[in-house]
Amino acid sequence: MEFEGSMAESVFRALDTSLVGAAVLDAQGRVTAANRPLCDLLHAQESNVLGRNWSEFSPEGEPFRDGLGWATDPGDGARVPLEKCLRGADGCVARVRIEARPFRDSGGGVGGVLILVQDLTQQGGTPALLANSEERADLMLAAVEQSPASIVITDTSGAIEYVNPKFSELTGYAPEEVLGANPRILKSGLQPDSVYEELWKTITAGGTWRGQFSNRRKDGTLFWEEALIGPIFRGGRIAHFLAVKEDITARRELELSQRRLISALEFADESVAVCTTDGRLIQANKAFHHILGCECEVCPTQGMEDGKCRLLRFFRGPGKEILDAIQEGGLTAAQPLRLRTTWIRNMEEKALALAISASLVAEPGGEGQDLLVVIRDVTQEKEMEKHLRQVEKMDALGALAGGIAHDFNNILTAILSSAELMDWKLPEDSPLRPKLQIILQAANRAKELNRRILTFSRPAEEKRIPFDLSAVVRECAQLLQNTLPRSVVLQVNAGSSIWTVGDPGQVHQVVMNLALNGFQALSGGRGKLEITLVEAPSTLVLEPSGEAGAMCAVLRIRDDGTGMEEAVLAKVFEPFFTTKDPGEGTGLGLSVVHGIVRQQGGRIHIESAPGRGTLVTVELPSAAAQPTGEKKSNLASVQGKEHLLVVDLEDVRVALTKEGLQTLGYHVTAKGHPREALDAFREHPAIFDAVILSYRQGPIPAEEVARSIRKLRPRIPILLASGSAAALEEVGRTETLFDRVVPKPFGIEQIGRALRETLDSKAPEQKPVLDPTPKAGTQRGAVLVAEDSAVTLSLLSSWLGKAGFTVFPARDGREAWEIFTERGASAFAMVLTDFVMPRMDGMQLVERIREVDGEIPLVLLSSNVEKESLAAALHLQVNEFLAKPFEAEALVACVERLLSGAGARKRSTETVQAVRRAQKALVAEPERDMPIYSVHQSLTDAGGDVFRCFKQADGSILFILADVAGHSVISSYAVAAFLGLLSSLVGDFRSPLQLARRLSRGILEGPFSEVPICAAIGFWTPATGRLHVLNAGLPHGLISGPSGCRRIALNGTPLGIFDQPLVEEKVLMLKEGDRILFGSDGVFEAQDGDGRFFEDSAGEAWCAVRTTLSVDAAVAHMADAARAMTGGVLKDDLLAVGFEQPALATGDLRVELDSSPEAIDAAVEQLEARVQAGPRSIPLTRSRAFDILTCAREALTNAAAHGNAGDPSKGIVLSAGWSVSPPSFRLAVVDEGLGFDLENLAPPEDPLSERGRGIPYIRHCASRVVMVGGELELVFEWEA
Amino acid sequence: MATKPGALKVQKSEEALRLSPRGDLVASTVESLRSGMLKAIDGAQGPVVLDLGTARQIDSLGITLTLGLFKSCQKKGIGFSVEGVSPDILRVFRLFNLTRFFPIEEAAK
Repeated sequence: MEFEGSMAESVFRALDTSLVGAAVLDAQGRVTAANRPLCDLLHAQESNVLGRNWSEFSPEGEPFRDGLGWATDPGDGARVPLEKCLRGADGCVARVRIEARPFRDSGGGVGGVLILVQDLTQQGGTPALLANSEERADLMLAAVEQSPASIVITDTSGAIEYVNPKFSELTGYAPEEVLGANPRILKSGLQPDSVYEELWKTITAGGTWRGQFSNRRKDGTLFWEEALIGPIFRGGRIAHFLAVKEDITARRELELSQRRLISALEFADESVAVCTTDGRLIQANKAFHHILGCECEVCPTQGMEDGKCRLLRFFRGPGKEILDAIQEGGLTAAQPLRLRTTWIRNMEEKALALAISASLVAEPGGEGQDLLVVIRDVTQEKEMEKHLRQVEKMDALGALAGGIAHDFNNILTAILSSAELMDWKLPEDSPLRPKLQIILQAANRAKELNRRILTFSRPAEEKRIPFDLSAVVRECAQLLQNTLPRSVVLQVNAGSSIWTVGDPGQVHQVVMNLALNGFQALSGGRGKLEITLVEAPSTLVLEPSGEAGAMCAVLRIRDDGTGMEEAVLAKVFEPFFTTKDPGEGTGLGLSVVHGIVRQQGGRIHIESAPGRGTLVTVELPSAAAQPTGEKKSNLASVQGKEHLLVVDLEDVRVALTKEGLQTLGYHVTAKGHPREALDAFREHPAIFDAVILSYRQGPIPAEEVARSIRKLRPRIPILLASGSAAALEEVGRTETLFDRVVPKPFGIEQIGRALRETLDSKAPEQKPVLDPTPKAGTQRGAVLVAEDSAVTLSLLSSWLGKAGFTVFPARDGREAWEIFTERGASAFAMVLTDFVMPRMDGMQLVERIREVDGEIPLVLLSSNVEKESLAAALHLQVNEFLAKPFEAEALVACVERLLSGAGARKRSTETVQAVRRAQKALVAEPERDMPIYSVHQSLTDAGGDVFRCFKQADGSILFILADVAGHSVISSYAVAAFLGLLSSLVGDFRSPLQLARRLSRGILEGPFSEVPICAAIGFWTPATGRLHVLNAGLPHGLISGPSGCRRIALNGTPLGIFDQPLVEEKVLMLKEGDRILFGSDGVFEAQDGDGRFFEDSAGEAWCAVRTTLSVDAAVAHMADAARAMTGGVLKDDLLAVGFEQPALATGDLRVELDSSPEAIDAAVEQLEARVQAGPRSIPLTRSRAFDILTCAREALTNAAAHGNAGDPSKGIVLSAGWSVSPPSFRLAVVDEGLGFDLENLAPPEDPLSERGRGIPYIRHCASRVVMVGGELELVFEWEA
Repeated sequence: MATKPGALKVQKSEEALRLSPRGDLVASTVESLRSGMLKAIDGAQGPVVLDLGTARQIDSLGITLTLGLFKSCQKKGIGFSVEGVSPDILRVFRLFNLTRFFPIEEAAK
């Protein structure tokens, strides 16, 4: 094969990793490439081989051509390997076999020779490898086949003739898939055709093409190759093309990534630098160079003098902490360092605030670490922070000044008013007049000063009005005159009446800022400050004319201070630019001035030079002069005869205002409290012609007073006087409640003029002949509101008034009652009352109103009121509750609902009836099939009493008497909700207490939690006579037997009050014939003038009818007796429930005994017999029997001693019986007590204690122990 | 003539003072036994033995009485023991850990 020169290099590269030594020599025999095996053979480093002439490796020093047997013409070059000796660098000699392959250069001449060298020394003889051409071919093939580079050989048309394994590995194509194909099968299409055309053109011309390809693998993925492609000559002609290619995909991606990173860093605002850990720059972005002013691409710190390298200065200054941290181990790769903000001066000596952070990063080789420094310029942020702090400070000062000014205004109003009054009343020749004039002048100056303070204190919204600029300049001059030191000569020429359009306040700020800047520029605080204002043709382009030359107001402020450099002058309007030291100036003054002037449609220009002072010229558009509004005193024009209502909390002011206005002829009613004023207005709303309110009205804001007044007189003129700028703005923004706002301080003439103008500008109002009683069609109804909180009362009045109701406010129950009785019940559509109030509370008010009017809707406003009180209120037929706090919408909705007329009332009744009907459907099993009887008579259709009973599978009867508070629609819904709840809970009934708890929780979580429900729950087992009763607020029960009648005394709180209702329970063991009567309040609270039914006669009556009437007739009799007690007029729902204990079943042992020890012995004896007579299926041991009997003894002893309190006459009932399934013995002991909490009984800690062993012993022996309402139940179980 | 439940037999010997209540030691008997027993202990010089050989039942009041006797003896510095107890009554004594304080001997079977 003949090679072109670069191809020889490619082949050499292919052989680079082979075991055969290889080298490329140029035409002069100099080594241009040598692989490692050859270097090893020569005992030399590659660097010691390259560039040397091959003849130097000949021990005999023969010329290299001779040594290689190389003919001049590569085409005729020696092919025969030669055995030679080579001398290595250290003088050693190796015997080698050399085969030389000459190649051409790009011009076709002799380019050099590729030599292959095989060490024969170690083989101990002549090697076979290169012995013949076949072997040589094998060697070449092996070298190519094992090459780490991808090698492709094509014919001259480009058809692939050979690919090596690396090609297949890289492309995914097997050799047989590509042989005969053109390499273009790899083309990705991402490179222009010109690349391939250039390639083809080069290699067909005998040259070598070097370049990169974007190719596509067989699986479609892209990869990049670097290729060297050239021709292979045979017989002087191109016979093939050889391509040697290297996969550079990873390298390219890395390079790309680096380029992206470098680009990103170059464009980043942050300054980033990589340095050595001793502070020498390795690489930095532009921002870094800029911020530090470094001009070196590569750090030249070594050898540079201190002070010249900015980086060095940085690391010796603000960055010193970084290098120190590295030294001290405080900065590591895992622990970056953030320095506190540092101020430096950059190249332009501009102060910069820098946030600096540093971290260590590993060098690419992993052998060391580099220092990464990131610097962020936070100058603007710091300036902004400073500015904001300044703004906050100024805001605070402004608010303070505003507050002071407001109070000052009030004082000045009094002074001015008094002085004016004196002025009017003093004789013309009074010697006091000069003094009075001084007072007036001083007060007016103070008024003006205060106005300025107020202007300063509030950031006014931008205005655009015509104003006298010369007046503003004079005002500023006056301020400056008072504040500048005497060393400053202030010269002001403001002309007269030069008008412009804009915001006077902002222009005031412009003049002051510029003048103060001028003063600060004066050297040593001494010099001249000149302010002139003239009207002249514009030299600048002004809006809105857009042309130079138009007439404008020209303001010039000149100082003869230090002046400015041109560089500084160029930046003076930039925000935050300041020549002052850090912390001394915000750099915002001139930028704000610039912004204001442009906003006003003007222009600003500065001329300055060092040592020549500064001239600032501001041009603002001219405007036509406006009338000044100043009026000469003309008392006649402000006089009047109208009737005014004047309200002010300050006695002095209200008196002065009253006197002054009266002097002007007005009739004045003055009030020192807004409530009094409102009362007066409501009393006679038609007599007033105008109202003057002061902004600070104390408990009721002026807006609220105005709204209340407008409710009655929508168009009456209302003037607001205020000394608070903020208040004026606030009032002005809200609504047109006020016809005019008069700023304080004012004199009588001023307020008189404002009043006169307002009265004259308003069309005459047709005054209503107003009676608080609502007129049909004009108002939605009158509402009496009793509320002791002035604020709440005002709010309620406002809300209801806004909704169109006429409100009669009352400050407590007694006042409300007085209004109610005075005007009559028919005057009001409804009453709203607070609960707790002085003199007469809401309940008393409701009670009184209900006595005379059972229909008028009553709404109770409650806050943290006891549920019992709410229940009582419901009994008084309060229609609605509103829990405080509530929204206006809720209040109005409630009132509207109740006042929505007869139709709504009818709908309400229908609703109640529907609820009633629904109630009947809610409970599946009514009481009619059970031996329990009831009489029920409702007071109204709404709410009321409920009785339900349910029969259990074992014949026991669960019954509930419930009294739902109130008789309103809500009460009816509460009844329905209660019954629904009951229906869902009785299916899982376990005990009255469990049921009561679940009902209580259900009520609390239900939609009518505000309606508590009193209930008596009973669980009666007719077979055993066991009656378990629980009381939740319905304590009225009687039991009658042969020995008489007694009460069932139980305490309890209504359901829905607590999650866990506080109730008492009791278990009664009824004897045959015992009769029980339960009743609701309607029965037992029935009363006449002399007494109560329950207290006086119920027991006797119930006992009396025991033997004469059947139980159902007896219950009806009791109901009749209750009705009779009330004279036939029910005070509440009437519900009476009764039943009689039938004969007891005989299955179980039942022993009734007294509380004596002997009776206990006898009972235990009977019990022993029953125990011993247990079923055979249950294995009863002697010990178990002992345990049962001992426990029974303990239970009986406990009942006698504790339940019955040792009273031997009190009874105990012992009942016991066996149960086969599950195998058990049940024993119950019932006394006349209420039981106790077993859980709190623990065995005595002292083993020698002589007490407290009974219950622990029972617990030890019995499988289950339950104590409920005087009944101790024990169960002894056996395993089935 | 059969002795009524609650009757007390007091036997003095050189070894001990033996108190033998008739029948159960329960609420109905302890009150009548208490004074007799305490009176007997009051004059005792040596150990006291409570013989429960005829008791089938004992309740918490009976336990309290027994403890009262023990404490009286302890106060006098004389020994106290219980003998003749049925296995069930012994269970009760053991349940309340009284065997820690004085000897309780089960009745011979």
